[in-house]
Amino acid sequence: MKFEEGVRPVCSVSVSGNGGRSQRLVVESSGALVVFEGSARLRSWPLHIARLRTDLPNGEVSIEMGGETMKWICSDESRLELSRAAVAVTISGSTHSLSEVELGALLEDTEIDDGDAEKHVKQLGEKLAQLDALNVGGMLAAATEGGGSKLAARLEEGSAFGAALSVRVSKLEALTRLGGGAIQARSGAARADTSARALRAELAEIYDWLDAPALADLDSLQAMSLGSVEGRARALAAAEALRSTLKMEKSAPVYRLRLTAVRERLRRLARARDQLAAALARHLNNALIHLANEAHTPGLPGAGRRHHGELQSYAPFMRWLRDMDERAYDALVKVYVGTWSKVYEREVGAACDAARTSLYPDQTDTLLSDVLTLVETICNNEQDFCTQFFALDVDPKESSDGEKSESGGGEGRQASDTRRLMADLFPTLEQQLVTLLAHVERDPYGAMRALACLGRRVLGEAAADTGEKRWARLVLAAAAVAAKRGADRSVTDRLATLPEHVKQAAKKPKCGIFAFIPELEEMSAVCESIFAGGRRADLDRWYLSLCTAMVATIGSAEHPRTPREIVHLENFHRLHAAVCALRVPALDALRRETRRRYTEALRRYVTQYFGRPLDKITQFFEGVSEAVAAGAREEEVCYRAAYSKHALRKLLALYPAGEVRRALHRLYRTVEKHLSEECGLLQVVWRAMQEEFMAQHVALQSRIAACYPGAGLALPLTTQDILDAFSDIAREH
Amino acid sequence: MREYKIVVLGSGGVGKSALTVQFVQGIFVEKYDPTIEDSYRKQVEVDGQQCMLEILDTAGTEQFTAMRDLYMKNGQGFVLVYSITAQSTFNDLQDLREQILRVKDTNDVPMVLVGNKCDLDAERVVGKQQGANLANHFNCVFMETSAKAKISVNEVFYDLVRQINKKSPKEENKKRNKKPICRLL
Ligand SMILES: Nc1nc2c(ncn2[C@@H]2O[C@H](COP(=O)(O)OP(=O)(O)O)[C@@H](O)[C@H]2O)c(=O)[nH]1
Ligand SMILES: [Mg+2]
Repeated sequence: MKFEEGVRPVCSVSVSGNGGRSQRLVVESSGALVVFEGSARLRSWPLHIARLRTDLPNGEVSIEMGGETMKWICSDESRLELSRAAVAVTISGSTHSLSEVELGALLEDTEIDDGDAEKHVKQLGEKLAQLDALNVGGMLAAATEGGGSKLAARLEEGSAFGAALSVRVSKLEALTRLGGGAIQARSGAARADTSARALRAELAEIYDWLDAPALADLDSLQAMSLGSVEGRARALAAAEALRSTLKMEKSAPVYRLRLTAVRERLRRLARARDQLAAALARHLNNALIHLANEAHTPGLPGAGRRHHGELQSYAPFMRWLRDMDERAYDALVKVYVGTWSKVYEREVGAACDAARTSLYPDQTDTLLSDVLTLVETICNNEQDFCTQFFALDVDPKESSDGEKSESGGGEGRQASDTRRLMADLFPTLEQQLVTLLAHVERDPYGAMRALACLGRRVLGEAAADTGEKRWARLVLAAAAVAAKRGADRSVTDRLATLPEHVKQAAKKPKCGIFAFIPELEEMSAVCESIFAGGRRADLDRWYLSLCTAMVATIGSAEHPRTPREIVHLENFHRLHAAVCALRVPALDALRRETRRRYTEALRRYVTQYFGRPLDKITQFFEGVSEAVAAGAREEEVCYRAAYSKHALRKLLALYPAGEVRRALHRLYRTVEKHLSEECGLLQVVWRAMQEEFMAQHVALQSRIAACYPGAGLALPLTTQDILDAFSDIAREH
Repeated sequence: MREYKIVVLGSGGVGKSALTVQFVQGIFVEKYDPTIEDSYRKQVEVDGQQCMLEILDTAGTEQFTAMRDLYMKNGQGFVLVYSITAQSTFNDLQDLREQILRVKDTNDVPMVLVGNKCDLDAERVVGKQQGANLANHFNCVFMETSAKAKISVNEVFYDLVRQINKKSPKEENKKRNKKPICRLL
């Protein structure tokens, strides 16, 4: 349906038209009655000229103009609606006004006796017909100009005026009914009846609106005591009645608001509202201050939550104030926040202090958990209470009958109101927690413990179902970030100390294991249990960055007395073991790397320090090899002077078995001197030496066998001698 | 060496950490462990230039949103990640983008829109075209990636470096160049 600009439908009802066609009758604010079918505007009539009848039998409605009549059928309610709307729109459009006398004819309480009735009704009808019968609004308007003070007075007293009128009208009704067809036939009378009904309905509505029974208490409001249950109940009833009455002013039809009596009544009610608001604000302010004093009294633990119970009974008033007097409401919020923010700061501060003084590493989790639980409990209780008490769950823009505001932003606004209030109530909470965390972090694993604890509270499974809208969760999340940064920092600090450890080792006679590796082992032992409940990823990341940095540090470390190969050998060996023990897939590459570098260091060390204990013999055979490579046959090499059996025999004489054994003893002592005890690698290295010696020995032996067969030449020790010598030496030391 | 501050944003579980770890360490993280805040440094060569990337991997869950303003203030380039298997993660990006522009107070912010988990094509609910359209609307680059299958992971970060270079060529370099001199003194 389309309407001209500025024109709005005042009422729209479904009717059944000619041949049962489904149509709608719409009364427009312009003062027209329009019939629609679907969205098609079929026809319209100006209501101040045409005659709308809603009092026909069989649910009929008709409109008559220029001798033409159209009829529809509809429900009784629709008929009533139509007639009221018609009244309403013709008022604003009306140029008429009834004189006081004319109104008197309608409203004055002249007794009607049965005999007069017909005449009276007819009279009335005729008058009304003269003046345009549907112009009841005009009558009312006139009533408030002339007889206004009377109406106003009646309204004030909650008068029986409406009742009287209604009695009169029902009499009229009865009479008109008695009159039957005869009266019906007289259009004037019928119209009078319609008018009277409409007028009565209108007045009844005004009474309902402005003179509800609960408003009767207004004058005694001042005397009501908000301290008592009964007083509060009465005050609340009056307050609610005031609110709904005053709220309806916005949606009241313009013509009603033009009535002087209505305007006066509304002014009176507004005054009452202001007085009530002031009284409430005073009382609530006193109550808040009283509770605040109590809360500030030392030695009253738990007072923190008691005020919720005491204030609860005022919640409906707070709600009312939020709606009716925003300034008073804001001021009370300020008083509340001012008081309780201090109380809570002290309470949380005390809890933090208590935790601080009894902080032992193994209790960090419990103590921190307790503080967090306290904080969450306080915040959640406070949020629940404030949401309710300060009516934060109600959008002030919502109309009183609870229908949602158009903007749809209600939810977001409520959330941000709540956040703001909570932030005002707990302005230092986050800082208090961060300070506590800083204290916890003084313990070497404190930061890790704090992170595990907060991670569990904020991101753990238990945290998932504790409501997204909890403000405390935001604070805890901020604390979790602080804890995470603290833990990351503690790892960064560890990383920064790596070169320091190398310097420390330089002061010792032997390099040995850099202290950072046992520290890593200790860290993993502690942290694996700290993070058993989650945040594995963080731990793995730290392992990775620590181990990577350790590999680099070991790789470039120097020691004034310990050879580089030993530094690498021992440290990569230990780091490799540590990495294996971590069993972290992300460290696989590092595990392989440390192993490779350890093996490499061992190989280089053995090559370099074992050297060639039978050096001259080895050199001799190198010459032999060259000659063979140059074309000499192996069994003929011995005929060359340089490689004769004699020359070899002289060389072998330089290495008596005892001398070789002594050389091995010396080597063992050197190795022993290089290696640290803590590492326990001596046997490993000695064994590698033995293997190296054996390899050299076997190679020389096979050369002798190939080049000097049958010469009776042999190396100073047999293979068995060597094995025995190595194990003897190892056993002796 | 010029430093690039990159921030990875998006809802929880879309693969922000997986992408970052794949890029920085070359590993795919199978397990889902909600991030609180992780920062990484990685040196890369982009167009013949050595660059130090400082990558901040952020939390995707609701309660950490208060941190975002600061991340956005400090970041120079942003990776906005959604998962092609979850419509809501795609829808969440509009607000994030607006917040970035608000914090940066400009429309020209280096940014890449990333539809991750493209290896899970069978579970796809956000079409490639939808992603492209959003990127068009954001006026930024769009890529579908897989942290798991190593698809276009490096490209995301390289592209961001190029965008930052384009937006502010050298300015940062001048500042950085002074540093080593100071150290020598
Ligand atoms: N199939 C598949 N899974 C992925 C991919 N990226 C991440 N995931 C998985 O998605 C889950 C969440 O990833 P995560 O990086 O922790 O998400 P974040 O919360 O955004 O950091 C983890 O279980 C990852 O293994 C991907 O590209 N493909
Ligand atoms: Mg993550």
